[in-house]
Amino acid sequence: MLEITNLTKRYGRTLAVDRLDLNTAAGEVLALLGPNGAGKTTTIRCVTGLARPTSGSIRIAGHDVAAEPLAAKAATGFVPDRAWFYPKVTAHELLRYVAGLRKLEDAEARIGELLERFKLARHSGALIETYSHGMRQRLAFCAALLGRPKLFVADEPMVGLDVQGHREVKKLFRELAADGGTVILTTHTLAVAEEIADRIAVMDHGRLIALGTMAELRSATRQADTASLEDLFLHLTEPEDDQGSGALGPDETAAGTRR
Amino acid sequence: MTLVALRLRGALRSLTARPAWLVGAALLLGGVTYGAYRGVRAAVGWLYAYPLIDTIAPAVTQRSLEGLFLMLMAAVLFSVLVASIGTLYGSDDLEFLLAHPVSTARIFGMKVLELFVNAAGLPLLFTLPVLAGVGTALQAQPLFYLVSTLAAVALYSLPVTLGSLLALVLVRFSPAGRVREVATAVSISAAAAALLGLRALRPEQLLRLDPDDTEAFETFLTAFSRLEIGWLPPAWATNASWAAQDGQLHAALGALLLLGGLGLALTGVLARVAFSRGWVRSLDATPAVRFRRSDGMPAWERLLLRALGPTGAFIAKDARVFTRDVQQWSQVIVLAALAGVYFVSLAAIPVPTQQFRDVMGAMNIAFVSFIVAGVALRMAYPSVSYEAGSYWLLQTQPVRQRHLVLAKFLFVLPLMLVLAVGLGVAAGRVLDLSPTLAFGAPVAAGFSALGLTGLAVGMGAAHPRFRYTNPNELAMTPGALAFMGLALVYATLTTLLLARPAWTALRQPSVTAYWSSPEGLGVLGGLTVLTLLATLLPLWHGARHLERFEQ
Repeated sequence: MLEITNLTKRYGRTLAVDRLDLNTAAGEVLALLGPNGAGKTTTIRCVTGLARPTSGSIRIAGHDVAAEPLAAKAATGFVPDRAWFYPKVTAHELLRYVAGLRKLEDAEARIGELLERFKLARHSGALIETYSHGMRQRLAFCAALLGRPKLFVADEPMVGLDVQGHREVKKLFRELAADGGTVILTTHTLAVAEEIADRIAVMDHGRLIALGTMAELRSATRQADTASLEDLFLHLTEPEDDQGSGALGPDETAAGTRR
Repeated sequence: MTLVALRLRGALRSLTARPAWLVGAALLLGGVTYGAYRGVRAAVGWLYAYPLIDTIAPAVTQRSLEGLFLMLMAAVLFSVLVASIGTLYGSDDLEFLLAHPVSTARIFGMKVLELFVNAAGLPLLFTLPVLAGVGTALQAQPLFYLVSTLAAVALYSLPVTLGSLLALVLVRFSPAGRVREVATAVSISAAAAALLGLRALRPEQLLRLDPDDTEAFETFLTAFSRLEIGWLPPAWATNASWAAQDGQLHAALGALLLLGGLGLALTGVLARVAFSRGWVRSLDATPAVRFRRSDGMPAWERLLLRALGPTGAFIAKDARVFTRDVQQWSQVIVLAALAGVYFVSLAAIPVPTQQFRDVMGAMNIAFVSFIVAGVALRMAYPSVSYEAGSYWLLQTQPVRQRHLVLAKFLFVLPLMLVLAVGLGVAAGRVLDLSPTLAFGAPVAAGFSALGLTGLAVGMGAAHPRFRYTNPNELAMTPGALAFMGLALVYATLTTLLLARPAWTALRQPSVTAYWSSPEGLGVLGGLTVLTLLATLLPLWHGARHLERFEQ
């Protein structure tokens, strides 16, 4: 579904992503983890078209993001960490606008369904400037799901959501995967990643330092079967002097299955 | 100082982000400034050398300076009234600044300074070469340059203080729930009223001369030299500058500085009392939840989507935002006031003969271009940047950026066409132009609207700024200055193209078929090519730049 090959992204002299290779399959939830500045958001930006790779390629559902950006974007839904919308339109109008941009026929029923699901139906006629942060985040989910994307990308999707929202989003991700879609999310809430992700990718300093299921990561890092994702994460990302055995090098990334 | 330094550093970084454009804009601005300096120096030199009126030359120069100060002070007042609420209460950085242990008066002071730079920056930049031109022509003492600059700064600070005081009062007492909307609407209406009020002074009375009087020019200058406005601050600034020419300090400078100081002190005191509370009120003013009908898509939106696809979706969204955002729709009030003032002014100018009328008509074509360029700077240039924080949404949709650029162009164009063609037709009627110009004026105005709207939207797309603290700063970016420079080039080329039909109209007012003659068709063809280039190239360039834009 998503094939990232040798992706490098530089901002001037800063190397944000360094020769990243990452593939995901249909029906998979992949959590992209890493400390601040690891390159997660830059990777997500390159995938969603918000930034252009310096080198390397990205394919979504078989479409190259650089060569066929429209087809790649049509297959993608995106939720940013801090969703900002036009304050002077209503939720319903915004979703109609997105439907217009995506040339979706008869989107009204889908809009109503999404507004109901994300508990915004009652507020759908109010201007977005009156919405709380959590409501805007839920609206971002509606906008991202409107086009029934094959690849769903979410950058810190839990930020601003209440407990019910958390549960709803976790359920949604599993449903999307069960329907054959692919979900990639970045998060600092490791418990969420551990609970819903099929595989976990860990980035640090722009490079992929680990990739696999929980079991594969435990095995690759020689941790006990009871080790939590937090233990693994700290083990992988702490400086070598602090952890003894050291993180995996870039050539040792293949902790688990590479698809 | 820390606050100002931070803002300066930010401004400097954004200026140097695209060095080539910065150099271009600086060269253009430098050229215009130098041209103004040389022009004024030559004009004053000519006036002093004119044999019959050398005795009244100093008075004429003084009155001209007063007129300039008055006009530019009015322009600053107008800009301040339009921008004050947005700058003082709508800036995004206020939440951050007010959360820190910094006195609210200081924060307000920084915002007032920002308002001064945005509203008085360009007028001041235009005043300085004029003062330098006058000083050089009159071989003034060095004190002249210091005093006249100081006087100009003090003078232009007065409307900034007045606008800030008005904003403080308006936000403090506007009805809760809609503070920003009401305050902005009242403030902008005040700007339109100020414009109409200034027009009501009817300066054209001075020009009501007997056309048969051979000494009309001298009579006019004598009358003009006696027209004193001693009780108004622009006269104080002139008197102070004039005395400094001979190395003397005039009491008017003290009066001006005292008035400016008192205004600032009063603003400071009021800001301590009212700014913080007013800002909180404006936050509370997050409008009460307004439910809007959401049962099905309105017919007009369906029509737009069917006819234009994604471009139609952009236009429908822009139409909603425009009609609901007071900062945007209120610009139409200002536009209507401007058009009204222009129309009345044109009607009031005494034009006794057909030749005079046609000269005015020909000049009007160039004036309309300048007006359209000024309006495009406010309405068309920032239209892409108005997407602001929401730009991520459309950047991640499967849609080409050319749809966005085209939608912005199509949305602003009708308004610009109505303004430009309206002024062109009005000029034809009011001045009773000869057939050649009566047809040429509205056609040229229509072409100007098309070319300058395309240029403005395209340049705005090529220099987008999706992160800004308030929209008023968009008109002061290097891209905006480059747009004004290119608009000037377009207006000059249009005027040159139309010089021939204007000359024909002056020499043979009765000619009715000029535009169907080979020459007339050639001029129309040239105008079409020039306008298409001015429209399509920037739109194409802007769309291309947006396709490559990275967040």
